[in-house]
Amino acid sequence: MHYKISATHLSKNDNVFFKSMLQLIQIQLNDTWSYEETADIVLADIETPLGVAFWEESTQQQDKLVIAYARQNTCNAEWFLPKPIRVQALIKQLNAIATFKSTVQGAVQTSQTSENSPSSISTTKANLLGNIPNNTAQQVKPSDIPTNKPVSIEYFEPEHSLLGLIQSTIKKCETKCFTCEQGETIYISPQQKRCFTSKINFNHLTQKQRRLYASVAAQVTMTNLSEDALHQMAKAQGLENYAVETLLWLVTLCASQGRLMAGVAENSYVRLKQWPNFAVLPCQPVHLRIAAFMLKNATTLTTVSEKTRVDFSTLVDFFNACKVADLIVETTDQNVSTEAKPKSSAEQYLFKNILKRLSSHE
Amino acid sequence: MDKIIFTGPMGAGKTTAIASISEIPPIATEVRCSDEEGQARKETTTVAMDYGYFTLDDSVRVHLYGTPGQERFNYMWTILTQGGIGLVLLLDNARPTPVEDMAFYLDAFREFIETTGVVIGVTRMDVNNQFSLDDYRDKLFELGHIYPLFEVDARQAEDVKILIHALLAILQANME
Repeated sequence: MHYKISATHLSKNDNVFFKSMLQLIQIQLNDTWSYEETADIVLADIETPLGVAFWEESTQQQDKLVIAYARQNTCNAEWFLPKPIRVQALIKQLNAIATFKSTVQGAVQTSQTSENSPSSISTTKANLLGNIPNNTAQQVKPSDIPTNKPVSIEYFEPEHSLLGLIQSTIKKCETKCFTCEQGETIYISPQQKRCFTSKINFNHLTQKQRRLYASVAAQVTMTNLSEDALHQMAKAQGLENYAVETLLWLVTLCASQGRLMAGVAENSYVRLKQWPNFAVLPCQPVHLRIAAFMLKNATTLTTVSEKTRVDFSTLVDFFNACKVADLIVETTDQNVSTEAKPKSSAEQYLFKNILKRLSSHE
Repeated sequence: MDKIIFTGPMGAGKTTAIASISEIPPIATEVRCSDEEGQARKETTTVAMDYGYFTLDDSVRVHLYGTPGQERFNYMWTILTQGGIGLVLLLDNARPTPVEDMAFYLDAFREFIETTGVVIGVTRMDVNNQFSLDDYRDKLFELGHIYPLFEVDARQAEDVKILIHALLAILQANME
């Protein structure tokens, strides 16, 4: 999808900085974003009287999606970007908005599909299998896609995303192809416990990959295929193969967008059962930090975020991925380790430098 | 002296792991294997230690020491661990009893691990998959430990970096 965004009542410096940053982060966004003088998505500086007036008016009229830009979210704005503009915060905010927009759009499409055509599902591509004989392909049944329940933008619900479709496919042991408009294509073979797709650079996912991984179920086109067809396809296209666990992990990290998985209470005490197998599960240094803490401590996610100094939405994405990998234990008692060694600033400094050194040579 | 210790049985990939992240070709004290197992597995083995290093921004060197794999050189283990930051335990999944190897090394380095930390990397799972990571986890659980455990390829710098990242993460968590 292509989204347009404008800015209003920003200082000259912030305005220039925002435009530049928007260009710089394109590769890390799930969708294409461009700056326009007028758009339905607007970044407004609510620390200025005119900016706050704009935000209030737009919120009342609901004609625009306004991102409140300020040091503190004093207005309790649903969409908020803290000052000063930082790369990760902006990426997360724009990806979350894109997910919201596509979720709303997906919900409308889903509703229309189930009302108007109960016996078919949206299939935007006629034949995904190209030169593979048609008799090996079969459109999926509508019952494969959950359609009636409204899609939540507050919680992450796997059953309404690509993740749920893949989990269902694995459970039913069906070989399938998944794609979405302008998105990547992946082939899942539950039998082999592998997925086949173009090369994944775990540190830099392409927009096509992000778009598919973050898709809501209604946007995804699924096609059944045989194992033979899959092998032909993988060979013909020179596809790479990955463990299914790797894909489930990646898809969850991309799709949850800082939303806690539905059914998990934010104040429940949680800990990690075991170290995630980072040999097959792509990880960032921040994930190792969270894992090390959550293995030793059973506590709320808010406490984990405070203690590890990892922002909450990143923590939630990691938590959801661990939950999908069945690595989370919920407990009734809080248990925060008190056996910690006193902080040594020299050691902290050394560790930080080692991490920096290792990261800089990746 | 800031140093990270690599240990594990013969052939687990300690020398290779050090080579993959060291700035210099590792200084090794390798000799031809004299025992039957060694001759069957590899031509040479480390008898004293392997050594490499990488340099930080402030010119501080982090030294990488590999212990000799064979138990008969275990007098070197205590010497090498003195003042170490933490332990990287590499295990060869193609050996006859790698899970028992893990228990042995965790016990042999118990004191050092208790005062620092350990991370475990299992190598050669592609060569022999007789034991899965779950088998190692079960053993760790039986021993009352939850240590970071990964399948790694010692030849891949990225895999070795993950081990060190994880080691530092648990050391930092211990200091929270």
